[in-house]
Amino acid sequence: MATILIIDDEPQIRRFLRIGLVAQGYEVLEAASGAEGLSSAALGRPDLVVLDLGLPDIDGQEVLRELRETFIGPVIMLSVRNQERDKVTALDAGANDYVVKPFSIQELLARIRVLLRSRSEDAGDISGFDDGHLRICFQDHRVSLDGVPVKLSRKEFALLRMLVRAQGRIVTQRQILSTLWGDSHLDDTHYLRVFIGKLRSRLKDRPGAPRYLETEPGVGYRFIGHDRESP
Amino acid sequence: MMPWQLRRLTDLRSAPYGVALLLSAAATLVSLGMDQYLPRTNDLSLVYIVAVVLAAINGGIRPALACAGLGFLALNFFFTEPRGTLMMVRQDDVITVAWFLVVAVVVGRLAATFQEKLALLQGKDRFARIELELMQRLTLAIHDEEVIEALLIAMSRQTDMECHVARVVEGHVDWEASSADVDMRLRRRIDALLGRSSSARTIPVLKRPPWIALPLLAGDELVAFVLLHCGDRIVSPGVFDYTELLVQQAGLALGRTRLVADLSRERFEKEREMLRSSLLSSVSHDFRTPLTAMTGAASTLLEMSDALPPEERAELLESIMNEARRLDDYTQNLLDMTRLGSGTLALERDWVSVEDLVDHVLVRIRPHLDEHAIDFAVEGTLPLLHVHAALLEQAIFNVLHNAVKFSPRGSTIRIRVQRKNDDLLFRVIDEGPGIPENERSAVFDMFHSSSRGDRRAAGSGLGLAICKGMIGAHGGSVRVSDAPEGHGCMVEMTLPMDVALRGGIREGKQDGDHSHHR
Repeated sequence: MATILIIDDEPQIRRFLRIGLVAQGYEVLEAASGAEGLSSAALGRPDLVVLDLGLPDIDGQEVLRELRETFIGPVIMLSVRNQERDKVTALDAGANDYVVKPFSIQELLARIRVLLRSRSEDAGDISGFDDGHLRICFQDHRVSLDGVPVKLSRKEFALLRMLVRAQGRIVTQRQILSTLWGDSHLDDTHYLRVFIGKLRSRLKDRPGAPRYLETEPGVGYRFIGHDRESP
Repeated sequence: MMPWQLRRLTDLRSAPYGVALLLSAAATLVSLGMDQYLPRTNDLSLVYIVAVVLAAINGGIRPALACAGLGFLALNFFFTEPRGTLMMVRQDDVITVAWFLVVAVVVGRLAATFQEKLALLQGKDRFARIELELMQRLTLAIHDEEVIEALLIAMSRQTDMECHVARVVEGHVDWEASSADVDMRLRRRIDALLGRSSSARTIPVLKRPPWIALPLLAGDELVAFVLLHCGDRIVSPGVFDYTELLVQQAGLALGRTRLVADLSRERFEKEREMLRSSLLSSVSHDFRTPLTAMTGAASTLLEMSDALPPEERAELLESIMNEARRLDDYTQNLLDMTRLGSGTLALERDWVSVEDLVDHVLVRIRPHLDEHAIDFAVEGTLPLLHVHAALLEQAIFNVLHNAVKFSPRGSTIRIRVQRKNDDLLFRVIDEGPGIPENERSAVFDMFHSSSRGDRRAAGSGLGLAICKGMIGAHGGSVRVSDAPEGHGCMVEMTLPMDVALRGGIREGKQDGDHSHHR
C-alpha cells in the first residue's frame, strides 16, 4: 500500500490524518515543519505528500518548490485560506490538488484515491469515458449522451478530453488556456468560461448540480464523472 | 504725541482744497511781507510756486492747480501795477504772471506724481510686510481656525476698518456665531446669493455700505465671508486690492490645511481597514484550524469507527475536546482584546501566590505541548501578589503559548520568577529561532505575527498584545530579548512590586477607576 507523508505543524490535524489514513491501510509519515518535511520526502520515499500551506518555518509555497526538485509524486495542499491566488500559485508550482480547511476525512481520501490511481495508469492509456450515459471515444472524436450523438467543435472536444484525462484532478484555467489557446492567451479566462458553458449545455450538465464538469471558482475545473470500470 | 500727529496729518489729507486755499493765503502774506525787499513780481512768484508744490504733495494735482490759479489772481491783484486791481499795464508783469502759471502747473503736476508714487511705494512696502507675516502664520496653521485668525490679524494691520468673519456651514452663513453685527438686508442678500450660486467661484464681492463682504474660498468650497466695516468712507481700489490678496492667501492656506486633514483622515481609515482585515484573517485562521481538527476527527470517527481500535477512537475524541478548548481560548482572547481596546477591563484584585498562578498556567498549557519540557523555577521567596489573577494568568499563558508555538518539538521552555529591586520579573525563555531585533517592539502590536516564512498563519498575533495590555493594566511592562544563553528568545514581564504588594492601599483608587469604567 502507498506511503503518505503529512507535513503540517498542527499536531491535532496530523493525529486525525494519521488515524484515518492508517485505518484505510496507508502507511503514514509525519513532519511538523517544512524542513522536516523536505528531509522526510527525500529519505522516506513517500508515494504522496499532504502539505499544509501555513507552516511555522518555511512558507508552504517554498516547501512545494523545493519538494518538486526531487519529488515527482502527487502533492495535495491543505489550505485554511480561501484566497484563490494561493491555490493557483501552488497548482502552477506543481501541486496536484488541494482541500480547504476544514475538510472531512472522506474529502481528502477521495482526492488521494484519484491522485494515486491516475499515477498508476498513464493518462495516455485512457481511450475514453463511459458511465452508461455519457460515452466519449478519444480515437474517433465521438461523444454521445444516452445514445444520442453530441456534436462538439474541435476546441470543445479538446477541452473535454483534457478534463477527462485528468480523471478527477483539478485542471487550472492556466493549464487549459496554455494547452488549447497558447501562452499568449493566459489571461483570457472569459474564453474559457464561454467554452465551458457551451460544453455544459451540450452535455446537459447544470452548473448548480454538475454530474461531469465541476467549477472550482477562480482556480479551474474538474471532471467528476465516474467511469463504469473504475470504483 | 504720535496719535495726535497722525490725526492731524489725516485731517490735512482729507481737505486738500482747504489746504490749497490756506497755502495760497500764506504765500500772499509772506509775499506782502517781502514786497519791500523784493519789488520784482517774478521773484515773488517763487513763493507761490512753493505753495503750489506743497499743495500738490498734500492733495495731488487738482488742489495744486487750484493753488496755482489762486496764486495767479493774488499776484495779479496785489503785486502788479496798478496794484489792487486785476489789470496789468507793464508788459514784463504780464510775461512774469503768465510764466508763473505755466511753471506752477508743470511743477505742481510733477510734485503730485512723485507724491502719488511715494504713497504707492509706502503702501506696497507696508503690504509686503503684512503679507510676509501672514504667510509665516499660515505656514504654521494646521486648522481652519488658525488660518482665519491669522487673516484677521493681517487685516487689522492692513486697514483700520473693522474686520469680521462669518463661517459658512453646510451652505448657510452661520450669522449667530459671527461677531459681525450685520443688518438683515445684507444677510438676506448674501443668503439669497448663496442659494442662487451653483459654484462658489461665481460669488462676487458685495459692497453694501457700511459693509464689504469678501468670499473666502478654499479651492471650490466657500468657507466663510470676510466682512469689512467701512462706514460711509470710500475705500480706494488700491487698499481694496490688497485686502482681496490677503483673503486669497488665506484661501490657499485653507486649501492646504484641508488637504492635510483629508490625508490624515485617509490614513486613519486605511489603518482601521488594515486592523479590520487582520482581525478577519486572524479569526479565520484561529477558528478554522481547531475546526479542521474537530471536523477531521469527527468525520474519521463517523466514517471508520468500526475499523478503529478503541484507543484510537479515544484519541480522536480527546482531540475534539482539546480543540474545543482551544476555540474557547481564542474566543477568550478576542473578548479580552476588545475589552482592553474599549477600556472596560476592570481589575478585580486578590491575594495569590506566584506558584499557584504559574501552576494553573501549566495545567492549561499541557494540551498544547508537543513533547516540550517546561522548567519552572522561583528564585528566593516571593511575597503574595495582590493582582487580578485571571488577567495575569492569561498574560503568562499567552507568552508561554507563544513560546510553545515557535519552539522545536521536544525543546525545553524555562519559566523564571525572581525579585529585582522593587520589581517582580517573570521570564519565559525558549529555544526557538528567536525574534530579530527590528521586530521586537512590533510583536506587541495587535495582529502582529512574525513575517518570516508563512508564520503569519501560525498565530493570531493577539497573544502578546493581550499580554502587554494585561501587564500594563497592573502597571508593568513587557519586553523581548535574546535568551541569556544559547539561541532562542526571552520574554520578560516586569510587575512593579509596590503595585503587587501595596495594591490593598491603592484599592480605593482602583475602585474609583472601576466605577468610572462602568
